Amino acid sequence: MPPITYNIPASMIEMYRGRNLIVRTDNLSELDKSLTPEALKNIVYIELLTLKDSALQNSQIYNTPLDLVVSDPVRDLPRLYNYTQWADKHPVRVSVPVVPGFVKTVKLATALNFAVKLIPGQPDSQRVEEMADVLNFYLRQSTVSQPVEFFHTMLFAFYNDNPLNLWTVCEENPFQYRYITDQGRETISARFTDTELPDDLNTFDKTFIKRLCDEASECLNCEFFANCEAYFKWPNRDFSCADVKMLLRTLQEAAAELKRDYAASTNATEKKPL
Amino acid sequence: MIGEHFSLILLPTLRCDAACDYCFEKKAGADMSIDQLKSLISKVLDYMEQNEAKALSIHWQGGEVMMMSPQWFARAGDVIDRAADSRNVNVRNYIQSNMIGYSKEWNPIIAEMFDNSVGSSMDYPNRHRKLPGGSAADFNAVWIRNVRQAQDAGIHIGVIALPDAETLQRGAENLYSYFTEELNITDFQINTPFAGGPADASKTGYPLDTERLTQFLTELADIWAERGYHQGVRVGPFDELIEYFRGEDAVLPCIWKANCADEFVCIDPQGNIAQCDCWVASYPQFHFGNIFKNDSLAELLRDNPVRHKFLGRPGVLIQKEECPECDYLAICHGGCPVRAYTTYGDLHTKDPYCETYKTVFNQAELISACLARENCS
Repeated sequence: MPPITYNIPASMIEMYRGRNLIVRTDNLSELDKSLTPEALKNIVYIELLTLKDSALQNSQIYNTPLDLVVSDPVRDLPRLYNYTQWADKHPVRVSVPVVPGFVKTVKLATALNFAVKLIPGQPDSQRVEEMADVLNFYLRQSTVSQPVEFFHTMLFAFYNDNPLNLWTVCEENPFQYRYITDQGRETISARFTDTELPDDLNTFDKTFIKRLCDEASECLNCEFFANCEAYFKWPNRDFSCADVKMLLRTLQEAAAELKRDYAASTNATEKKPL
Repeated sequence: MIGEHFSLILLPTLRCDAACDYCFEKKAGADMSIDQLKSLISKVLDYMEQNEAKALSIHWQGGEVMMMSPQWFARAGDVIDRAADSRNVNVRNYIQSNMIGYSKEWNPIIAEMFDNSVGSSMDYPNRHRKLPGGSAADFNAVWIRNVRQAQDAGIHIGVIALPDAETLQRGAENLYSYFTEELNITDFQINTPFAGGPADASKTGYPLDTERLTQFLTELADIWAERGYHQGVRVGPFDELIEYFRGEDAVLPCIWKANCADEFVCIDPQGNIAQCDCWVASYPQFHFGNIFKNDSLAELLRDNPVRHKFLGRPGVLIQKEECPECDYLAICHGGCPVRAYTTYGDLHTKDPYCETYKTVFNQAELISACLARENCS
């Protein structure tokens, strides 16, 4: 099993020395000045929580992947242009909450050659409809050359019959990721910061997810249970998954279509992994 | 912040040996000296170093760049190579010339410094490119003679052509035949014209009628795909767009950069800096500053409010125009600022040829898919 990656505030770098880290900050220049070369070695990526800090010169974080975290898609939309040149120097991803205005942000981010991670939460019907538009855009638009998560990884999970689930794809699987709150408490991800989790995170799958599934009867016979494991049932167990299942179904169908096209193009009968 | 690569449009002279009706440049002032070039390059390399940029493209233009001598360019190339080598920067030089002043004396420097390639310009039909006191026909005669002489010496000639109403009326077939058959030009690019600089009679009718221009360009693309693509003829912007849609490394024209202000600047012989040659030569109110009067290009560019207007343009367009809904946002971002400004008097509007571009993108995408299937019809 790979070592756990800890998502920590920049102020805690020393405390987590030697571990794999995702470091979150509001000010990249300040972080850049305070980082030691040794600390830099263990940083998987940096989360930039405020999109304004684009003047980074003579940086030692050259080549370090960056995650630009959008908090308000409407406000942050034009700010993405401040980072146009960053993709030359760092792998860049934009994390976008599924809230009003997110579609334009996703489209601009992909247009700027940034990868995208959607933060779906529990989207209402209108937002799922917009997610379906974004999914279609990701699947069909010829100018899209970067992944849009969770669509991208789930598409290839379906393609390869790989039982990856959304907790893992969305970096919320506590066997791989832990989120350290600003107060130093260990939890699953940013959406759990205000929640006291009673269970030991080491038994997350056997306790927390099991209880979620038990309480959410919709999961019992769900065709996508292996790929989801009640991901959309937090925090509201009564959230209806009918709409989000449509997204997963579209991905499943797209994977099947891809398999057919690939087989036809190579004239092969045997499935080959991508 | 700039990327790994930086481009400089460098005008060592504003003098010119032609007298084209629609020129937007003021042909005055002293040429750039080698000492000035040394100082300029040093500051450009400082700026690149501060931004961790490793590759520099220098696009030499004028005025008419061949008003400088081949000997001047030999010294300039030497100065640049020495300075760049000391900073581990890779430099590529490109030259854009009207070819009127070309002679075989240029061949060695074109081979060594410019990879044996020259970009030139010619229109079909040529109504506006003229020699001083002469006619368009006189210009054509000299241009054709010199281009053929250069081609005979093994020099590749690429051509930029600006269409006008008469070009559209004559049609794509005639333009394609003129360049490929009559002139033996196998690499040409159609640029969308605009009325830059002071108004005069030659600059009326711009922007061109979008519908007619679109029809002309789509016909040209079809002709090229059918007759030129497989023979190695390059017609811009279609060739670059097809490379893009094939997933290859495509260098799209500057009008379709995500933000041209991130990618290049232009410097004239007096050291004035602006976004590109159109701005530096015609619109002093849009200068960013003067490189000979400032020690640091980085500080000059970082602090200049005019440059900030350019930097902010795509962010404004993405909020006020319909660009986010466009299928081709990734390859356009609202188009060219100088075309917007010269048409609407406002930098923060999209390119007036937006509708033409959308059709061109779509056409290139269809041709690309068609060529990929190898049963294009």
